[in-house]
Amino acid sequence: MKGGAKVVIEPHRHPGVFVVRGGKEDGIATRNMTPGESVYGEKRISVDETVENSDGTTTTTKVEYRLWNPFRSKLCAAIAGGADDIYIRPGSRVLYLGAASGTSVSHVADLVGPTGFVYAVEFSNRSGRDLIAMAAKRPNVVPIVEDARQPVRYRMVVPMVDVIFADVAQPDQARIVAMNANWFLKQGGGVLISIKANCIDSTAPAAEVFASEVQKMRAESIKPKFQLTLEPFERDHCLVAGLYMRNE
Amino acid sequence: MMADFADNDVQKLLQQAEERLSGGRIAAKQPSTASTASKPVGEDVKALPPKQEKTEVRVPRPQVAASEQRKGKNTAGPEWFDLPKTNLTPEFKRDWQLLRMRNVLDPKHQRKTLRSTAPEYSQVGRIIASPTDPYSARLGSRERKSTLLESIMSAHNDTKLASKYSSIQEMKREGRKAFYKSVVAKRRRRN
Repeated sequence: MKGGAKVVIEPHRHPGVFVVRGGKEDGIATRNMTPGESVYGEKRISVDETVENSDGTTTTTKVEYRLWNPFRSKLCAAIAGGADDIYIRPGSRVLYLGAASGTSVSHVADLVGPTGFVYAVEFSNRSGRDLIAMAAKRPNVVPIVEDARQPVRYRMVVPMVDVIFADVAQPDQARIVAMNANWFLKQGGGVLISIKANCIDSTAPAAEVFASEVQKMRAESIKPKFQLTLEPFERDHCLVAGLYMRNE
Repeated sequence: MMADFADNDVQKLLQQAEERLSGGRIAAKQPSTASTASKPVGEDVKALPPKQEKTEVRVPRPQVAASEQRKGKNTAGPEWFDLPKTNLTPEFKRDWQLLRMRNVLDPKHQRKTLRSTAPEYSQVGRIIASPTDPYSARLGSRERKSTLLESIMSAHNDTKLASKYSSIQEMKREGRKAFYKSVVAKRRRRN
């Protein structure tokens, strides 16, 4: 899709997500919370929305959408790959572990909209700087530069959340998610974990690593719902989704 | 094992089991049977008015489809940030037809087949060209068109097919009858 080309925007199956149809290719987009700015050089789409006022006059406002690249975001790759449910919708509160520079977080912030909240946790100072710069322009993003292994440290900032998305790529990923879920996730809340097989165990085959991670989730009272390979976009990655069933 | 239970207990357990099986419908019967059991034999049981059995009928409510729910609404709702209803202009209809047939226009790339009806809620936008984009990722001012149809029409090269055909034919004709005749004609003209 070249700059200046006309495209059609229609709603995606998942709330808060849009499909962009161009003459040559399709894409996934979110509605931009901060019109006029791209976060990481992604393409934006401008739409003139005309609303008729009560007195017969019309006002035209500009609405912007940002294209979401599935090669750069695992959540987008999962949506493009046909995830059953991403649990994140407008108005959700999301705890995002492993936020990195905040490129994906910005899209999640768009998705949950002005009524939702994203609590983005990133340990690295360097990425955390970019994350904070991104969050400065978005009122619904709370950047937390802390270790996700120690949820105690940010317990005063994060309330009970609806969804946890984890992209931490650590061998003890399941334990990190379980700890955070124990602290912050509501009963029946959604858990989305992106697993990179190499980071858990580089010697075992990918499928075995995924199966063992799912077993670990089960042990932590997360009921797995579906598992999805991110294959055309990422190699040896998968996204496991589940529901947090603490009292069952 | 059975001897461990008193007769009374067995009766009670059976009643409970029956209750569970029937999903609580027999529960209303229980006091009446208890009363008859306590009564001395010989008294007219039928004199009692028959108690109305409490019947609970679950009335199934038909599930309303999402498309039905949104009927008559002007936007796609808060889930999609109030995306407005499609402005079904003739241009848009044609653009949607083109989008549906894009597999035919460019058969080398396979894309998802779209449904025949235009989406109920949609907007038409334009990709913002950034000055930092490379020139290959931008359209010049003359290449920008107001509809998808026009952009595809302008990108399509009409003469390409004809020129390609003629060049192939020229190559194929070389060394054959028509080619030889033209060579002879040229030679005669020279002499």
